[in-house]
Amino acid sequence: MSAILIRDIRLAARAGGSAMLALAFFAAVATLVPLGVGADLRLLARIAPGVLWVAAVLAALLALDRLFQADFEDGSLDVIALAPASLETTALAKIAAHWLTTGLPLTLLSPLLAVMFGQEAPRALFVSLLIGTPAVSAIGAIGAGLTLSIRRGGLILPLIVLPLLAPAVIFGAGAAEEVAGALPLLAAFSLGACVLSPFATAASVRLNLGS
Amino acid sequence: MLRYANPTRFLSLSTALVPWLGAASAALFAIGLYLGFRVPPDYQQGETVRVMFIHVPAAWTAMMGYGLMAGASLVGLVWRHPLADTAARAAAPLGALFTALGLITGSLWGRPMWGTYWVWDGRLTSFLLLLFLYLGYIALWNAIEDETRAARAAAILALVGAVNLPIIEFSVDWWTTLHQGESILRTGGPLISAVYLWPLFTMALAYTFLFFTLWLMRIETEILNRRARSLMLADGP
Amino acid sequence: MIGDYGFYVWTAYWISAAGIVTAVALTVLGRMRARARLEKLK
Repeated sequence: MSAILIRDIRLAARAGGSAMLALAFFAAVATLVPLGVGADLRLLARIAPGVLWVAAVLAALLALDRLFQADFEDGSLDVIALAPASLETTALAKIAAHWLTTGLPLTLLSPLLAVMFGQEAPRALFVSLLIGTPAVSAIGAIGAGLTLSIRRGGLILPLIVLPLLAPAVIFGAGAAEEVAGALPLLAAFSLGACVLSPFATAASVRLNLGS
Repeated sequence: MLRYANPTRFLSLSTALVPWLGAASAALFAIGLYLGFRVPPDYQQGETVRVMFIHVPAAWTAMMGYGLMAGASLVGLVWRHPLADTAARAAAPLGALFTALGLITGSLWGRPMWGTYWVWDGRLTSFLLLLFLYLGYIALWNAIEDETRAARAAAILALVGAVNLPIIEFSVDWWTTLHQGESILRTGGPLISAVYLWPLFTMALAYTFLFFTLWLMRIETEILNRRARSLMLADGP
Repeated sequence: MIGDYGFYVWTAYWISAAGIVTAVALTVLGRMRARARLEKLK
């Protein structure tokens, strides 16, 4: 599994860095918001947790439709599927790789954006994103598996994944605001998503294999 | 249930049931509407309490629809019951319709109370998310070309949604109390006096029977269409 | 008496009715069409 992990990270890093794309998107959205709502730092500081969380989720979804694409097209998924449970392991590895190349960079950039939004202590946002973005990768992976065979699958993927991510946004933004109890709930959701998702992801990949 | 895996048997069962279900639904609607307008207005909500008689049943049917859709999906996925996928697919637009009706009636019910057509109330917000779950499900079915794959993908999505739904509801509820929104739209509002329960239950039953009537008919239609398609293919050019 | 709130009540009921009637119509028509098509092919 670590072999797959390393390989995927290297692939992602080489693929023009989907990390860069996600970061740029994150920053771009964060820049547009003040243009839209005005420069009042008090207002921005108030909406920062929610806005930055939503922006992070959207940015993390960007590269998702390509999660399985390459392996699907060159047939290596069919080979992997032959061995028992290895599709689940591969799914977990891909989720981890996706998080390392999107969720994590986004989390690392977030303090900078939080400060631009007038937040003096961006630690809460940082922690909430750190714990919450794995859930985004995990649930997003299920969507990626389901939409594998769709040609323009990238359009339908957000539609099916975003409602499922509502708890992450709710608990995540809550944790970023340091609401009591939000962080444990977020952690529970993230953990549950990461544990259950590989099975659902593997199932959805499997249905697309072998005609 | 496996006996009705045979489409012909299902058709004969459904053709027998549908008229009764339809008639029952119509009768219940008549009774429910009569009761609903005969009942005195609420001392707090006035006449608007009558919207409850079509809002709550719509909401209930929407949730039931998703449950049936998820259940059918599970049967199709695990036991490969041939009609299960068809049943799941048939339920989706109906569920979406009732969700939309629930949202609209909920908004109209709340307007006199809130002064706006929409609030991010826990109930309505959860409902909106449910609508998106339905729409995503329908979109997935339509987007995948291969029927078998589409059926399985949609089934997985329905099940993932079903598992997530309680979590979504819980998180929205938590969020509502957090932001001090008033969850006015608890079932029935502040206090239901017994006199309102009769029209409410009657209408709820009416909506339920209506759902089943339409659902069975939609499954029938799909079976008939499939037969027509295979006949056309058999005839050849 | 209907009073001030009559508008909301009636609108809600009419919209619900419209939705339900449309659903019933589409469902019944769909079935009739499917039946007709099948009969024609036999």
